[in-house]
Amino acid sequence: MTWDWSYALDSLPNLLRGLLITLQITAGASVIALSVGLVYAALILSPLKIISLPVRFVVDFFRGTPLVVQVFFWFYVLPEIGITAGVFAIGVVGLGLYGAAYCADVYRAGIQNLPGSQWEAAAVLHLPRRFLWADVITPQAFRAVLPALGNYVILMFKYTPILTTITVTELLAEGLDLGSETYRYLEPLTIVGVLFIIVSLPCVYGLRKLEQRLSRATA
Amino acid sequence: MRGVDVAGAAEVTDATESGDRTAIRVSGVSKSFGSTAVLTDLDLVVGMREKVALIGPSGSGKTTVLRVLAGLERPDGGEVALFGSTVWPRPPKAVYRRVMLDVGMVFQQFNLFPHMTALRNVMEGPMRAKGWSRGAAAEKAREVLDMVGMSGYEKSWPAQLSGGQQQRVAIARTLAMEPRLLLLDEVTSALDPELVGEVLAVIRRLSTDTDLTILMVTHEMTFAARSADRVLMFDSGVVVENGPAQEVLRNPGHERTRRFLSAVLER
Repeated sequence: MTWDWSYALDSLPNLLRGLLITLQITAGASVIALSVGLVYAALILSPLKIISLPVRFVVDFFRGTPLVVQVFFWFYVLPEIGITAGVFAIGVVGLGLYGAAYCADVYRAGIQNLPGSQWEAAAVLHLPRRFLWADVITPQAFRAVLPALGNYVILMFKYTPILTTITVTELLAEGLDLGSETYRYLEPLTIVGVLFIIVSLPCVYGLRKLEQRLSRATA
Repeated sequence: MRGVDVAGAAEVTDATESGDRTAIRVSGVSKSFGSTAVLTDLDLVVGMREKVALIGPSGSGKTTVLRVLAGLERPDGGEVALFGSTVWPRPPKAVYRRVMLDVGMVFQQFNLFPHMTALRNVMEGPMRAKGWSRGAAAEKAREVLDMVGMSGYEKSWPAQLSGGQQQRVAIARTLAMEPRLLLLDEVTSALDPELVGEVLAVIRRLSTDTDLTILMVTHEMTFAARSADRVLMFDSGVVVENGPAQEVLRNPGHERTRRFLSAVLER
């Protein structure tokens, strides 16, 4: 089997369309993961056990079950309980909620690692609670955990192919479609891999740079 | 914000009992951490505008006194009143907050917000706790930064400043809140020796030029002698000596004070 350049080139438009879907899913899922994760973290850190324990359980539940199981669950069970949503939306939310559970612990660690002296400085300035969080705690915690959060975004990007199982036409699905039409998988699947690398490698390097800059800034 | 407040203030603001001249009244306050008693049945009265130095060996409870007054520690028992208003046992939230807005504290380790410029650090309190406009807060911040000799450093980040400069910004941050009671917790202990002087000069100016009531925990005995009206010697959670600064430091009455002073001065 030899590499067929013209077939590869013909595959490209479909594959790029798939990549666009993949990026859209990643973006949507990231927004959910980063925001819901922060809410989880704030609730887990609540001194009220009646709040923190259930949320802790939810987070552990999402972390303790495979993503593909969760995705199938949303795909088959949501319609059964009367909620209809497109597979794209299910994919975004499913992946986002999975990521949120991981981001929750990243945020929690970031908040807990802030020195107690920052809380005390805010206390003796009599900052109201909302400004304590908005001005003092969240910006510092976010800075500290930015690289870790970035890694989860990249991870979610690489998990998007799991959504082929519920027929989302993302990058891998497009590659498999092309292959099944022509019985030639070499070109499309190779390009799929290359496209994933083209996106993720610069992100990984960028994050590493960011991490170095942040650690220098606080030193 | 003072004066805008609210029902409940009258019943707690009992100025007649403790008198207008009293800034701090602590009665029978105890505090333990686990099985370690840090303060034992402490009584303490500080008049308005008085400058009081708290000295004593580490672990003797001086810092805990400041932290109780700042609301950072909850006493196990006893009563605390500031400016005639009871703050322990805790009054209703709105009353407590109104009283505590008059209290400022500066820490040994500065505790500036590292992600804010010097100016923003100082603006934060007036803007967020007192609801001032950005412009008014910035104006106040520039004024107090100038007071501590930090004009020109408004845009600096804490990490770019020396320890002495950071501490002066931290003092400015507290002053911007316009407190009536200033609590200084070993504010020069974390500084390199050559930077101590600039911070002490600022505090000395505050103690002579302002109406602030100042309570300072310090190991700088000559500074305490010059800046404080009164010295309290703490040992094992109780005040073992209480008198005019010159007197206590020159001619201590208590054996424990004598030993402590000679140990400190022979450093």
